[in-house]
Amino acid sequence: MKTFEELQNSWQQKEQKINESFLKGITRRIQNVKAKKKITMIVLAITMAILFGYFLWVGIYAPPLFTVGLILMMSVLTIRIVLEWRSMNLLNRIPLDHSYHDHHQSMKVYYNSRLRIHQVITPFLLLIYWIGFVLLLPTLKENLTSFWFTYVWISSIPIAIAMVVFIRYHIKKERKTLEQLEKELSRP
Amino acid sequence: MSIQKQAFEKLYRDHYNKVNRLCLGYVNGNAALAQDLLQEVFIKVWQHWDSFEGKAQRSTWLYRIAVNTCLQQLRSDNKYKATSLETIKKEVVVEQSVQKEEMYQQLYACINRLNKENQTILLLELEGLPQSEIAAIIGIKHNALRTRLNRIKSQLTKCVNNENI
Repeated sequence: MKTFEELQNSWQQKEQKINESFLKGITRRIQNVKAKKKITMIVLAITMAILFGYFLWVGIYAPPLFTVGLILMMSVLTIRIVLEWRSMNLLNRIPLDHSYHDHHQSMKVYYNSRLRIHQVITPFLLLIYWIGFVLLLPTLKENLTSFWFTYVWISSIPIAIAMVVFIRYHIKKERKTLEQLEKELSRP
Repeated sequence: MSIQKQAFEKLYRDHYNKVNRLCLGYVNGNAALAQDLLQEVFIKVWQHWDSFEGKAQRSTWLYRIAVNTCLQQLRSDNKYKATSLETIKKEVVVEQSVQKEEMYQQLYACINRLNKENQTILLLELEGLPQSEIAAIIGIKHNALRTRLNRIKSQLTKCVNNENI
């Protein structure tokens, strides 16, 4: 029969050799993390610039219906990028040195906001995106050969399916994390 | 070497084994996963170094970061979810005697039966932290912690001694 104090004593005796190599590499690892963040920001900025450039190149002189469609699709992509960037910042801003309960609460708020994005905002944005795409079709039909026009609209079907799968995956993921957060405090 | 780097290295060496045991407790004694968690914790400690305001002890601050980082990793990274006793048994621990190692396995299994909050309380108590510090890390009142701790300690000893809990 072991007492708690005996268990505690054995527990504190479990020691390992200190991993000194971690200390040597930590500066490089932190620089890598910073570089990754910088790259993400650069990629987002380039994506936005390409979208804007494409609009200036194609959209301005195109028929009004095509321009509206293009504006809708680009706005959706821009909003989605901004939402993702905002969400990433929100997570990074949650203080890690708060108590477990405060941190747990902040994480719940964060994951609920992610769930709202996937359940409400993203499906709405996708609807707008596809309305934009449909508005492009008359102009595309006039200007593309029948082969390329058929190719464009047929290839849009797997893209639409992939988008729905993507949303479902993320809803499931955020729900699972929220359930886990609930379990952390409720199970005996 | 900067003063911050020196202070960080001292904190790392002083608390290496304590944080490692905490991480081991969360991953059922899997040493490789615990090492990943530990490194993640100390990267966060380095990144948030300036957030320490001196209101609490440096160790309280460190443990808060360690607990929150470990639990966040457990929630978000699938590699931690598959931890089972089967995977640990394959690891060879040379320094420990077989009997002692069996006792640790039993301990990990019993710790794993608790919810994450109670696991955290127990792991900090096993480290011998003062109850006021554990209460500050968890974010509950000292009295509430004392009552809960008695129950958890009794659950653990019964479980390790193979009694019904």
